Amino acid sequence: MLTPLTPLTPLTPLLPLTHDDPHTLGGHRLVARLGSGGMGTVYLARSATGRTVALKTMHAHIAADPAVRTRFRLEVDAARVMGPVHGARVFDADPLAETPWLATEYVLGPPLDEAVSLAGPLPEPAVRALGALLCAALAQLHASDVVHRDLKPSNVMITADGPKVIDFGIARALGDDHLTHTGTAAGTPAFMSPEQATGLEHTSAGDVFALGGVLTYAASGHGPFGSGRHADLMYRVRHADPDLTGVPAALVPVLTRCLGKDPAGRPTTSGLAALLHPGQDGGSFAGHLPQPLLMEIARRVGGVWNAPPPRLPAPPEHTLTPPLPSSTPPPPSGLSRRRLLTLGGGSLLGAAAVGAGAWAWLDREDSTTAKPPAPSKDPAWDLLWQEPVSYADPRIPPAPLLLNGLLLVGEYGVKGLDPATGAAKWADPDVYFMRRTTTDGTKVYAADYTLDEADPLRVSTVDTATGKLNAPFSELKDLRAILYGTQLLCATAEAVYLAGGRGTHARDGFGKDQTWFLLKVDTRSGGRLWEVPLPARPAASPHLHFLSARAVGKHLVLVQQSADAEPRLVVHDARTGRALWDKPLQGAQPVLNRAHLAVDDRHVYPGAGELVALGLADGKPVWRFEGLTPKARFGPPAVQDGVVYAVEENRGLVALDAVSGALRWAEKSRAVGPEDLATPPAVGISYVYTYAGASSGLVATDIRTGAVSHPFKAARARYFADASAGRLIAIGGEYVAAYPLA
Amino acid sequence: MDATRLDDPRRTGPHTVLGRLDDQNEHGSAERRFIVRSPDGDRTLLARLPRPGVDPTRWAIEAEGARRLSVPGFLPVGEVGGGGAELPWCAGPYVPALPLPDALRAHGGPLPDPVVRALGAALARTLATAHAQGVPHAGLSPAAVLLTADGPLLSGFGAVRAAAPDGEPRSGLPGLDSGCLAPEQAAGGRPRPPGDVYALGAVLAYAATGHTVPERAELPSFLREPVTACLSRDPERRPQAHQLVPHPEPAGPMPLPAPVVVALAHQSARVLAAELHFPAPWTGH
Repeated sequence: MLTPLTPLTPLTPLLPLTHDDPHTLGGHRLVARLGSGGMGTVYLARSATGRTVALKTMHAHIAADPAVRTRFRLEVDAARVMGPVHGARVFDADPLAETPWLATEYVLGPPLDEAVSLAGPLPEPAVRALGALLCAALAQLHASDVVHRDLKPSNVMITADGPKVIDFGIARALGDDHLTHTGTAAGTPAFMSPEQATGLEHTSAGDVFALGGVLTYAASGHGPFGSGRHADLMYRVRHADPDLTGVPAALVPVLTRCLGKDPAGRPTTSGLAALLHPGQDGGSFAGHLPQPLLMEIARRVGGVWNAPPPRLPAPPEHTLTPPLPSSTPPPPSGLSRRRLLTLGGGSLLGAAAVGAGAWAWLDREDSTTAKPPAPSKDPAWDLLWQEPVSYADPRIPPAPLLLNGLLLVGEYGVKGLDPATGAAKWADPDVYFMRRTTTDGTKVYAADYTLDEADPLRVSTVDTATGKLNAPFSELKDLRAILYGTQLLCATAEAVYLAGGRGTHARDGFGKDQTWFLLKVDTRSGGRLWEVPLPARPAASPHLHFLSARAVGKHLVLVQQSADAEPRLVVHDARTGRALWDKPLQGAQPVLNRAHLAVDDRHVYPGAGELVALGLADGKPVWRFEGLTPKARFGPPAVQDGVVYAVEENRGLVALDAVSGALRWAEKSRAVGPEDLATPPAVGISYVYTYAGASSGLVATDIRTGAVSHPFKAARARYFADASAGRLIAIGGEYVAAYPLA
Repeated sequence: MDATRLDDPRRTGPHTVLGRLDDQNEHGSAERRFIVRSPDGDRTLLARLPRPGVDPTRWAIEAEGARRLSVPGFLPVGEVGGGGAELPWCAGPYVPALPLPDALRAHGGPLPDPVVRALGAALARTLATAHAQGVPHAGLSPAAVLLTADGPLLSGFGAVRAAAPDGEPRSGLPGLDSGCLAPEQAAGGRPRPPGDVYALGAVLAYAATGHTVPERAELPSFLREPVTACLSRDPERRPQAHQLVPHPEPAGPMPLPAPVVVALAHQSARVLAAELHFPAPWTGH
C-alpha cells in the first residue's frame, strides 16, 4: 500500500490514468496512477480539501469475495496500528465501499530494494540505524498483537526521517489462523521465516527473522538465502545456513542470531535494537545515508509535484482490446476463490503458487516466477488502410511523426495523414523535408526551406489542419536556411533542438566553409537558449550530423555521426548544452538507428547487439542483460512504462524491468533470424508487436504475460505504435499501412 | 513550510495561503513568499508579494518582467495579479524549496565545501545564461537563492530596480541585502551583469561562512580568489559569470546535505497533507 512508486516506472512516479479509471473515488479526485497489480490499483488522489494522498483501491470484482474484503479491512487496521511514524499515516478508508479504498500519506522515498540497487549496500551505521528503527516499527505492531508476516526490502520505504513499513496485506492478528492458513504458506520466500516455510505459526519472532533478512540485504545487496525458484528458496530457508557474504564483520553475529532456525533463539525487537545501537545516539537517520540515496529521496520529494501525465485515450471501439486488469468484468458468481484470485492477471499466479492467502498489489518478484501463462487470445488483425509513399532509400525509410490524430510520413514532400483512415489531411503543405520537421507530440515544428541563399533560418509551428507554416517564432539571423545539414532534431513543450549552420551554400551536401552548431531554441520567445559547435564536415559529405534525438528531462540524447559516418551516442545537459558524455555505438548500423532511440528518464538503451542500460548522467552501464546463451545478440530495444522490450536471438521477445534489468517474462523460444534483430518492437496497450521472419508475419505478444499470438501474414516493414489513434503503423519502402493496435 | 502569522495575508488573488516558505523574516529580501493553493484545490503555487517598505508599483513591474523571462535557474513566474488597492502578487508552480538562510540554519552553520562549490557552479551557470540573453538578475542575495532537489532557483528578480529608480542612492533601502549590493548599484547605477557577479561573491561567502562580508581568512581556500575578485569595488575588475563556470561542470544535480533533504521532505509532506478549509466546488458532482 501507499507505495508511492510503482514497479513499472520508479523514475517518474506518476503514471497516466487510463480511460476507464473513474474520475473520483471515495470523495477523492484521481490525479495519476502510482501502480497497479492483480488485486487493485494505487492512485495519487486529491481530497475535497486539496490534500494529496496515495489511494489504494481493490478491484470491485475481487472485493466481491468476503474473505478478501476482510483482508482489506485487516490491512487498514494494521496500517492504523503502525501509525504515522513507522508507517504511512492513514487519513481515511472505506473497506465496505463497493470498491474498497484506503487513503494514506504519499511516502517520500524509495523502497529499500531500489535504494540498494541505486546506491549500493548501505554503510554499517546506516544499517544499524535502519535496523533499530525497524525494531521500533515491529515493536509497535507486536504491542497490538499484530504480526507483519511479509517484511521484505520492497515493503520498507526509505524516507529522510527513517524507514516506513508498508503493505500489511498478509499481516494478521496473532493466533488468528483461519484467514491465512489455507494449507500453504504465505509471504515472500526469500525473506520468509523457516516456520512460515514449514506452514507453522509465524509469531513476532518470525518478523525478527525477516528483519534479519532485510538487514542482510541492506548491508550486502543480497538476501540471506539468495534468489531463485520458490521451492528452492523455501528449502534453503528451512535447511541452509544464511549467506552473510559482504555483511560488515561486526554485524555478522547479530544477524546470525536473527536468522537462527529456532524462533526461541532469536533476539526480541528491543534486544535487537540494543545490539544494533548500543546506547549511543548516532545522529539523524538521513545523516547516515549515502549521497546518491539522499539525492534519490530529494528527487522523489520534488517529483511528486511534477505535472501529472494526461489521461490515456480510450482504445478505438472496433478493435477487440483484451481487458486491462482494471476493466476485467466481474466474474459470474459461484467461481472458486482461487479462480477469483487468478482473474486479475499473470502477476497473481506467482502469489497463488505460494498460497492463496498472499496479497499481490504491486508485485515484482512474483511476475518473474509466474507459471507459464495460458496462450493469449489473438488481437483483432486487419489491414485497415494502405497508402503509397516514397523514400530516398526504400530500405531505410525514416520514422513517421506521430501526433494525436495526425501521422506525418515521407522523406521529401511530407504527407499528413489521418492515422485512423489513411486519408490525406493536407492538400498542399509547406512541410517538405522530414529531417527539418519534428514534434513534441502536440505541435509540429518545421525549419523553413527557402532557395534564397541569404535567408536566415526560421523556425515555425505547422498548422496541423493544412500543413502550412505559421509565422516563424524564431529567426536565427546568423544561420542559413538553405544549408543541406539543417535538422530539427526534437522538441519539448518549451524548446526545439536543432542543427544549423553558417557559411555559404554548397550544391552537394556540406560545404567547406560552413560551421555547424547544435542549438536549443525557446518556443515561447524564439531566443536561443544555448548553442554548441559541431565538428566540421568535409566538402560534399552527405552525412548529416544526427541520426536521432530525444530530449528527456534534463538530458538531450543524440545519435551523432562522425564525418565518416561512425555513430556515437552523445548526451548533453539539456539546460546548459554542456556535453556530458559520448561513446561509440558498437554493432549498430547508423541507418537503422533513426528513431530507434530507447530512452527513459534514467537510462538510454543503445542500439542492437548487447542489451545494456547506460545511466543518462554519466553513460556508465547500469545493467547488462545476459541472454540464454553467452553473447546472445539482441535487436534494438523499446522502453515504455518502466519496461524494456527487445528481441533476443534464438529466443524471442524479452521484457525487463527498466531500473534493474531483471527479467519479467520471456517468450517461449521461437525462431529469430538476423533480420528480425534489425528493428525494435512496437509497444501497444495490451500487446507488444514484432515481425517474425520465420513465419512471414506480425506477432503480438501479451504485454503482461509474454504469451504469443498466432502470426498475422504481413510484409516486413518498420512498425510503430500510435496509441492515441489505436493504430500499428507499418512503414515499408514504398507504402505506409495501418493495423489495429491493441 | 511554516505556519502563517497574524500579519500574513490569507489570500493572494484567488489563492488560499497554506503557509510561509521562509522560516524567519526574510531579511534582505524584497518579497514575502507563501505556499498557496488554487480555489479548486488542484494547483499548489509559490506566491510572492512585495514586502512592506517596497514600492508595490515598482515591484509589480519587475514581477511582470520576470513572467516574460525564460532563464533556466530563475524561479518561473506563471501568473501575476493584484494592483490598485490590493497588493500585487505573482506566483509559479510550487516545488519544495529551502531558502539559503534556512538551509544554513538547518545545517547548523556554513555549508560543506562540496556543496558550496556546486552552488557556485550552478549559480554561475544561471547568471552566465541570463547575461548571454542580456538580462541581469538584479536581486541576488542569500534569501533569493532557493535550494531544490533540482538545484538552486533564483527568486527576487529585479529587487534592486524595484527598490529605487536608477540615479537615486539605494543604500539601506528596504528589500535589499546591503552585503550583496554592488557599490555602483548602491550609488544609484543601473543594474548590470557585474552587479550580479558582486552579489554572487557575497552569496558564496555567505554559504561558506554564514555572512556576506567575510574576512578573507574565513573563506575556504578554494573560494578566496574568486570571491575576492567578485567583490572588487571596481566592476571592471570583476570576472564575468561565464568565467566562473568550472570546467568540466559538475554532473548531476547539486548535492544537498542531509539536513537540507530532511527539511525539503518535511516541507513537501506538509504541503501534500495541507487542507483548505472549504471543500472544493467539484465535490458532490
